[in-house]
Amino acid sequence: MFKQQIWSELKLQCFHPLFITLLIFAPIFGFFVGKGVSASQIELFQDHNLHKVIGILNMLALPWAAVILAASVLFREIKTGIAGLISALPPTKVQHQGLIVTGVILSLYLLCILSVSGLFLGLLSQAVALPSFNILLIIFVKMQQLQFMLSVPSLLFFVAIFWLLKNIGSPLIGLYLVTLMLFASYMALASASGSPLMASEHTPSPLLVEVMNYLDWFGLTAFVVRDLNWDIIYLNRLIIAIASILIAFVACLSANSPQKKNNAKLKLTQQVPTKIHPQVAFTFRKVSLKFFVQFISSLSFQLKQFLIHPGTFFISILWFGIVVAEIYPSLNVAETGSTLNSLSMDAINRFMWDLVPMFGSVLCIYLSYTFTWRDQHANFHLITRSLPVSFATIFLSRVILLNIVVFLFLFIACLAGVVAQYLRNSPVDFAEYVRFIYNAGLPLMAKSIAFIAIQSILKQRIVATTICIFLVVLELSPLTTVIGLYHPVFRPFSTPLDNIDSLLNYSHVDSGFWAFTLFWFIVSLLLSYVALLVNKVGGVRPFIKLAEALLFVFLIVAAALQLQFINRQMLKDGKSISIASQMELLANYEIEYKKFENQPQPTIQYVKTEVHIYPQERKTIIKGNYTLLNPHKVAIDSILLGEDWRTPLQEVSLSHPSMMTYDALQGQRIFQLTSSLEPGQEVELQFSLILEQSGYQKIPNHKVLTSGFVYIRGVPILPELGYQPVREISDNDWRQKYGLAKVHHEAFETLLGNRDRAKDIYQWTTLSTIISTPEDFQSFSQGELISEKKIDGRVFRHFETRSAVRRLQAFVALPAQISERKTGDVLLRVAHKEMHYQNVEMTLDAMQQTVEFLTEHLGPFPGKSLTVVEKPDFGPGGYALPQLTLISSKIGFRVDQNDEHSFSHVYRRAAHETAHQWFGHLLGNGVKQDSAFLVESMAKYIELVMLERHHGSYAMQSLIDHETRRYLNAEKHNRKPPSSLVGAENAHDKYSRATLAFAKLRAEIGDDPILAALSELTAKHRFPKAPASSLDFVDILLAKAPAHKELIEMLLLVPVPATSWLRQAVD
Amino acid sequence: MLNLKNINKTYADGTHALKQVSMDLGTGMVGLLGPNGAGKSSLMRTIATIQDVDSGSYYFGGINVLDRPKLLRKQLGYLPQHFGVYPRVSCRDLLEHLAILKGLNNKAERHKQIDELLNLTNLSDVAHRTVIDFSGGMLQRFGVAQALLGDPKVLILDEPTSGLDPAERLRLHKILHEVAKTRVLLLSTHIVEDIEHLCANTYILISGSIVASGSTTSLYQCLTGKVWQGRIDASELPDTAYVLSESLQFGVPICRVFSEIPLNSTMEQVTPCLQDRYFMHLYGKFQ
Repeated sequence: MFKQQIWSELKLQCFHPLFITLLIFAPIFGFFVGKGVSASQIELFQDHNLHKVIGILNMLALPWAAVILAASVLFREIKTGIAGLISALPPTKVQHQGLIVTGVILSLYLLCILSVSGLFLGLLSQAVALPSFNILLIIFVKMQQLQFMLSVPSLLFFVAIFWLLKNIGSPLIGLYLVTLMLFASYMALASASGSPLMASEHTPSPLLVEVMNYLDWFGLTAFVVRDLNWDIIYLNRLIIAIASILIAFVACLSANSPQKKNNAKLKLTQQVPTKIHPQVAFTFRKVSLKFFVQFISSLSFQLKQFLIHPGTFFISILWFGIVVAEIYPSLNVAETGSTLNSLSMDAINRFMWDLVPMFGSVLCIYLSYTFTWRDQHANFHLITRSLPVSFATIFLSRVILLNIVVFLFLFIACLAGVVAQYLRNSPVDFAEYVRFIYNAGLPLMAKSIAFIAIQSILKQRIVATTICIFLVVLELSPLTTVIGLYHPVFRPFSTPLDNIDSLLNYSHVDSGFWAFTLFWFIVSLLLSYVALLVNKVGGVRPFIKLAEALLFVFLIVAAALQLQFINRQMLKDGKSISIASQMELLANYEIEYKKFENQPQPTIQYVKTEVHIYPQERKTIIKGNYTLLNPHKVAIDSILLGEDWRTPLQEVSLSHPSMMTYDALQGQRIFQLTSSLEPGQEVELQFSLILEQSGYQKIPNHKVLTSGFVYIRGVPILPELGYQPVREISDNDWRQKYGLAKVHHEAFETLLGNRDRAKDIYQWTTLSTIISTPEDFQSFSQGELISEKKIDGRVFRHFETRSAVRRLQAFVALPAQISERKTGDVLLRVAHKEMHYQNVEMTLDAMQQTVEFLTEHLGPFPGKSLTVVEKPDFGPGGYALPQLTLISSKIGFRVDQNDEHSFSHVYRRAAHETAHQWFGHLLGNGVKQDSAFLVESMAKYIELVMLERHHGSYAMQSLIDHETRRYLNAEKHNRKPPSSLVGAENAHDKYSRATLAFAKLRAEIGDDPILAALSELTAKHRFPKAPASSLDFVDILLAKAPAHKELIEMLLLVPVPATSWLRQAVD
Repeated sequence: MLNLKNINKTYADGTHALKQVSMDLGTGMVGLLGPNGAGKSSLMRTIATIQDVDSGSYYFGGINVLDRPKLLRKQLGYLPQHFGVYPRVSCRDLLEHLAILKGLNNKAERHKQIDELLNLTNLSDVAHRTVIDFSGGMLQRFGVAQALLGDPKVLILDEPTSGLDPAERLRLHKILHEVAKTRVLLLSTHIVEDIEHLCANTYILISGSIVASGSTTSLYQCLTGKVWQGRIDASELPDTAYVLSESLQFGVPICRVFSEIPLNSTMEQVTPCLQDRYFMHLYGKFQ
């Protein structure tokens, strides 16, 4: 009997169009996940990669597939009105619901099988060479087994929750909202517990990780760590299954609760008196149709219906709560240990970029569907369609209604933001909230119009809704990137708006926002017009009149022109190159120009640069002059000059007779010299280029041209001489694809030891730079400011380095206040926004103390001035260039230290970045095989020293504790083979492990041998002597502290993770 | 006033719902009689301009309705056979909303007409209640009320008496009779009695085709002297006679039989009715 019933139920579910759509969608989605989550060829079919991709698939798709199917099936009897009929059948309500739920679980599991099959195919599509059939079969079966273990308890969990919600009287939308909450909560918990699936760098609380190990409803916390403990995984799955059964039990208990709606109807029918009133005279009344009156009536009626819906109140409260919960805990947090002096923009940044688009899109999909099909749902459509109301009136009222709802949605978000700010004593800026409403609201508005139009054009509701969902998936998921669609227009209704910046607000992407918004509005208008044409009543032939066709064409042309305008503007950012094209270019570069690697090339002796910055126009004109010298003992016959692919040079000339060939695709020029460049001979190379930025796409890290801040790094914009090995593809999978020989990744120590030391070379040059800006702008570059003059409303500043410095030029301009201090003959400056002064003194302290310390132990600062510039928040938090450091406004200037740590991140970061003037720009450059040890790890050492010297050992220990937590968390998920500290490539090794290693080293041998080694290293290798490598430092250190050879080798040279010696220390 | 000529409608699933349907409707009440699935509702929806036609012409007072459906809708009152309502909206509020959409812009006039309609349909006492909680009969009365809103010159009522108790049914008959004096009222039903009571003219629609039309009495007057009623076994009937209907009267089976010649003594000659003509078409016996 049960078998027949379940078979019948499954047939009912499986032939539903929604399920058929999911059947098609599941393997496709699986395929894209399998294809999109990239892994090296070696890792592709390894267990940990299989765990990762299956985990991602479940985390992203399972809740949504479950809610879509469960909502459709659990509510089908209510929707179709046969609930009464079903209740009269012999099975009890619980038995009947149990049958349905079993069917849902089986259907969902079928989707899981298909999606994992798609995932398997996605992985295969990444493989350059396929394993044998037998191995593939084993992998496939293993993936299905893993999916069974992971998905079944999760399915039970979600379906049980939906069952319970349905039985306690939740509306259908309630299921979706609870799913959204669980989805968002899981993302937050996974991020907070340091899940590698979330690419999180947070240091998680051990308690949270432990709790998540057992209570993670997807079972992924214990499943994606390096050292798997299957007992924990099985126990987790068992706990979730048991919890699901308990929830299902409560759902069963709730199944027989009385139905309020039915009772109400019964009550009314019983109460209605049977008396018949005497009939009064009835007269017809004259009517006159007025569009505006009909429109207002439709709108107000539907709005009232929407507002009195119990779900509206429920959802509003929920939305308010979600936004407050999102803002309140983290409003004043910049990073652990730092309290942000938050503003309204910080509150808005918490919800504007993920919650608002996600919830807003769900709202648009759901309400566009509900408003469009409301009459059909209520079975009132025959009456409304017979009314003398035009479709345009109905359409317009739906559009306006949805936009009113969108406004209310944003208004509630603002209200929640204000409340959260009030609770955190954060000053409220109402103008910022107004800006939020139109910046977030306009794209949502365009989206809502388009969705209403799509629902109106297509008569198949499921097709229309699927299209709307697909558009949202394109916009909000990485799908477009995965399938190689890079143009922003492939992310429907998206604009280039990004986090509101401390310095720039929205100004850096404002122009792009309006251009894209206009484009999306034209698209929405076009769709609306199609909807009006499709729904035009009357059988007049032809279907479309000439005037209508012309308007349609006009809208298409308008959209095309706007798109063309956008494309033209985006060209200002340089040529757009996809990753695949970029790889192809790199491969071809190596193939065509590798021959220059061993050909002698001149070096750049002197660089003169004129940089004319026009912030309002977002434009910079650069004119450069390189003095080239032949330092070799042989004559040079040809010179290879490379430019940046994205920003080609405008003019190039060489003051030496030559024939130039230009490879525009690769941006390479070969000057075939008519007469050779003799040893010691100099020649001048002149070039110019124009840089622009549209604000139509994400701002790159090292080219920022905005009206309030300009920063240009010379690399890769300025031309380079000779073959650039840095352009070689290091990934062997890509190399194999383009027919390049595999690179043998030797051990770091071997690579460094066997290198050709003759090729170790400092790229140091004397720099002379003139920067012109508007008068109200400060400007900075390497070197001393030797002159400043004003001409025609512009200020020209001339910077010059008295001696050679590392040739990593940068040009910065911004309106700023400058605070300065002198230490010795070095001028320390901090350029900051006038209001952001609270950390300036501490930053100057860190700079001064670090400069003095390093000058004392390593030798003088390589320059006469060091400037820290407050930068916008996007890009890296801190970045050191020779004599110039950029630190982001939020973490460097707007924060206070809190009680969580006993050290200040502001001080630590400023000391770290200052240390890079020695470690990075004095030492640590010139040996291309070297690791980042001499740069980053040594800067971490300086952090420890400076904290201890100036803030006490307690502050230093606090940093060690902080880095220990970060290290242990990162190491838990690290799957790369262990490396020595000097050869480390992982960030957590270079930074956290370095802190721990140096802390231990200092504790054991003290600072003296380390500083002595550094002093000797600097003396031996400072420019113009031969560059130093990390191993040179270790060798000197071993010589300075021979008694601690074993310790030094263990900490710096032995390829074991720090956990080995950390554990020893604990033991 | 309403003139339909050779209307054809085939649905996407291939059902040929209307076949060469032609009708001429003037002021007064016209009945549309047909069995379930005959295409009555399809025809009503077509006349109400809710669905397109494949071919044919449709004029309202000289206006091509297929080209300009809104002109008819301005003067249309339509009651579909099955309809639902929005949740959480009272009977009065929904009537108010529909009245505005129909063009009753004057607030006082609108309220007055709504009050009159509520009284007319005996819904005054429950006007403040949500319509979704109405019983079937109350909902049907609401449907009639909304159809009468404004000043409809054409009323299309699809099974208006369905679900009404006898008293309400008679009350509605009275209303419809009054209304039809000055307007076109097309009444679709499968209850023959309703048409006999109300409609001067009748169309019989079977399998999408109009098989008979004319004044209601003329449709069955041709059967005078040929309809017999009584207790008889069908096998005893002569070849020229056939059973029109079999029913029970106080638990006793009664047959109505068509025969051009007198039958045996158990069968008495009776006055023909519309139902006899209807059944003759239904069983394909009408020549």
